[in-house]
Amino acid sequence: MIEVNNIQKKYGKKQILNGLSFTAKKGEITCLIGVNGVGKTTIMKAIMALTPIDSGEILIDGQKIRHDSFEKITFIPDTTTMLPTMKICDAFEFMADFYKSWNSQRAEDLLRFFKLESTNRIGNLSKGSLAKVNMILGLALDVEYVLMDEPFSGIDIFSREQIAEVFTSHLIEGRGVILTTHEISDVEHLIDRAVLIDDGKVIKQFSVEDIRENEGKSVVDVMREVYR
Amino acid sequence: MKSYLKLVNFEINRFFKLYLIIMALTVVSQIMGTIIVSKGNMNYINQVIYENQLSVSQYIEENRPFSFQRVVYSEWFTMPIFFCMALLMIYVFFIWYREWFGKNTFIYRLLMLPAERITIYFSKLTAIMLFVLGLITLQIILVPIETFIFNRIVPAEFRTSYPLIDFYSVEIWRWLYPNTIIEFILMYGIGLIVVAIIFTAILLERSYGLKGIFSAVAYSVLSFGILVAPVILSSIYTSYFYPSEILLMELVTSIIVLGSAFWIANQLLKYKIRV
Amino acid sequence: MKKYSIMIIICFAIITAISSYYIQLAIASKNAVSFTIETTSGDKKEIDNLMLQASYQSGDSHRQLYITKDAATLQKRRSIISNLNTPYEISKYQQYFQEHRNFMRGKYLSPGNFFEDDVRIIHTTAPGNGENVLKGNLLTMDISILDKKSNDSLSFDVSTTAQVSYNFLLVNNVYADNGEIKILATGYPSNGGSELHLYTVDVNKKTLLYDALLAKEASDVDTNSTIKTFTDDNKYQKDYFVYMIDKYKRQEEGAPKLISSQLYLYNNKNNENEKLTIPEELAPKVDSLLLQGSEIFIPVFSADDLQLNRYNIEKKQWEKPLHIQLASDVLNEMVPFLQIANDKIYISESTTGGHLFFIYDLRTGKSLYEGQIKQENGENADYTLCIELLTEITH
Repeated sequence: MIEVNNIQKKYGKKQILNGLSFTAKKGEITCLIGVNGVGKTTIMKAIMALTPIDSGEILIDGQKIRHDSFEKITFIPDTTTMLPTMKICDAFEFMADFYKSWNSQRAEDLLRFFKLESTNRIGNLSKGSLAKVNMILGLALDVEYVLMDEPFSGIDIFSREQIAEVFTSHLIEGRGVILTTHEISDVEHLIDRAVLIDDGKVIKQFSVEDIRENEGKSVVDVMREVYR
Repeated sequence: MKSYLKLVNFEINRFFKLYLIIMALTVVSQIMGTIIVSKGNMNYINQVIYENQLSVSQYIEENRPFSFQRVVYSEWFTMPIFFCMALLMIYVFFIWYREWFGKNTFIYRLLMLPAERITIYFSKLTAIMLFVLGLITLQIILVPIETFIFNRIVPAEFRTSYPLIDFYSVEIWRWLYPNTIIEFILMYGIGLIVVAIIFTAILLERSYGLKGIFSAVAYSVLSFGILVAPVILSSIYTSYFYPSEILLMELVTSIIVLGSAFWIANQLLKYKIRV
Repeated sequence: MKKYSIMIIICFAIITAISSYYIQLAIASKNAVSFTIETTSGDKKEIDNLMLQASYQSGDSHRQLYITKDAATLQKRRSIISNLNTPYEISKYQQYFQEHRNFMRGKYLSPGNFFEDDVRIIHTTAPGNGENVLKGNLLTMDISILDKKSNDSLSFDVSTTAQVSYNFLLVNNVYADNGEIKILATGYPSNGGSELHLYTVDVNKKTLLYDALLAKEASDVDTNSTIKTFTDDNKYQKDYFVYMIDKYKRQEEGAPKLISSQLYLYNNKNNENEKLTIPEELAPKVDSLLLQGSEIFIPVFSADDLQLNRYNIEKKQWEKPLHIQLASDVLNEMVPFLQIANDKIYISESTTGGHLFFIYDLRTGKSLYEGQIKQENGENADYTLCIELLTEITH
């Protein structure tokens, strides 16, 4: 379980995160929801120690993040994490070299699934293909937690369908996934939990299925209520 | 340890294309320079001999023979050295900043590697040192080759020998190739510490932004000041301290400065760095 | 492993190249150019403790060598680390550094600043050599006295008000006797000219007793005068010193013309200051005057002869000059090397037959040693060797 406890972060004069807390469990897909700039990406980066927090703590399975945590948790940002001069196969080789949890077979499978060539250079890929490669770099790792930042933004509809297919497959099963989006309609049918963020705080976190069954509302409905 | 070697290897391979180019430029410039200077001098000598109808021994009596030193003093020889030094100085900064800017944000990947983040710092530091020493090595290899070419072009009567041991008279050589192996280690050790200070300063800037630039500059000045304090002390209080004492003081300040550079960098990379 | 190939090649090349470079350098240093002193006649023991500092030049090679009787010749190479020291030749003071390490800290290394007798060593200097002392401000002399037996040292300073502003104040000579220290110093005022001061210091009271102005020369539009001091650099206990005042008249064209030149002899033991007259034929050579103990020497070189003129200070008379035969085939009109020390005369000449080295007895002019400085192994047969200094080495 990933626990985010009461984190504060100021950027310049602006208080971006103001006592924000939530949890994400293994085996569930948790979605951080909020308007652009509310700090969703910042939260992700903070979990991965890619940006500092002023106070509060973040625990992964009860422990603060360490260097070997990166065999347990990975982050798929919306930019590429490989050199543009690398070919896809070079990128895979790099990952295999450094990560014990890299699953080369799965990487090859995903490559075929996304219909990409391993000799393509990363710098020459289209935005959609780049997003797919990013996804492979994250999912081909046998990690327990996957963080994804805006996995669908700026992607064409066909690529989006492909990526969505991955979500429902065995590749995600059993793992803890946190993703962010500002386009909730894309992911509503995929996620287990929703965390609504506004003003640097968590306004409401709930199970999507429970809300639908018990209150008959969709996530969008809840959002309308909460953000008014 | 394994991650460290892998990263060093990665850094080397990344820069290697450009490295080969500057090595090639150095080789071409120095060899061409050897040929041009040797032939130029010989053409002049032959012209003088022809115009004045001198015999070879008559010419030698009037004019001293020359040596390979003429080549060493020429721009063909020295320009590539300065050019390589400048390029490596730029790369000291670029080796970090390239991870954030341009089309790649490779810094994400580096920071998410399952290895202590300070390994990134050490691997870049090692890579820079290897590049510097590699160029030093190239120069050592080139000199005998160039001397050979020189000796082929200039007949024996017109030249005197200029063995490596005399290269010492050239200022730049004295700095790049100190007297003894101990001094060599000291000089390049200081160089390594300077690069480490710059690296930590860069990380300060990357962690704190605008405030970071001020603290980076302040940190660099302070560190460098402590580093050279014994030398400055010895020049103010001339001959108060014996060389062995100054060396000992310098060793202590070096350890302090290097240790703090590493420690600060480690703290920044673990807790304060931003992508 | 293939992907590590570049890294491995680079590391291997670096280690190989740099270690072979320094190994080669070390070997070359030992074997490159080596000189030895070969005895032709005389007592071999004479050269046992001698070290000749020479500059060697061949083509574009310039080296500083230390030549001893042993075959190996040391070379001196200016390194960056040696720049941490004062550039002055410190081998003279090796013994002091070894025996009195703390006393020697921060001492300005010039023979004129030291005095030594059986019981003590005294060092005196104006801080910063009196650099830029302004008129009206204090001119200070730092004095350090070391008791050789107990190894205790005592430091104090004395001051006087500077009458003029100085560019420099250099100490030429220190003499101590009867509870007094006499310091001979040449001051160079900022507006030109020079002054010769004799400061007398009371050791027990640690005060400045007198500031005697022995000579003061100024320069004006037409004339210029200089003061030159001659001291015995071989000993640290100098009973006498000599100084010379030259007056020049500026010429419209060319070098200034010498109008007058007068030598003075000062006796530290009885504070007597007397004028010295030199025979007229020696006047042009007076610049090469050497002071040794209680004798003044003026060497005059001619084509194949050294005439060493001697003045005995105690007897107050010029004695019969020593004549020493020199080699006639001197190369390049180089002036022979001459040094007087240990009651001996050391001469070296570059001749067509080689570099000759002679030792003569200072009293009698008898030849004690004759030898040749021979090149043992070297790349070029064509070279010039210039002897600069002779020192004694303590093993």
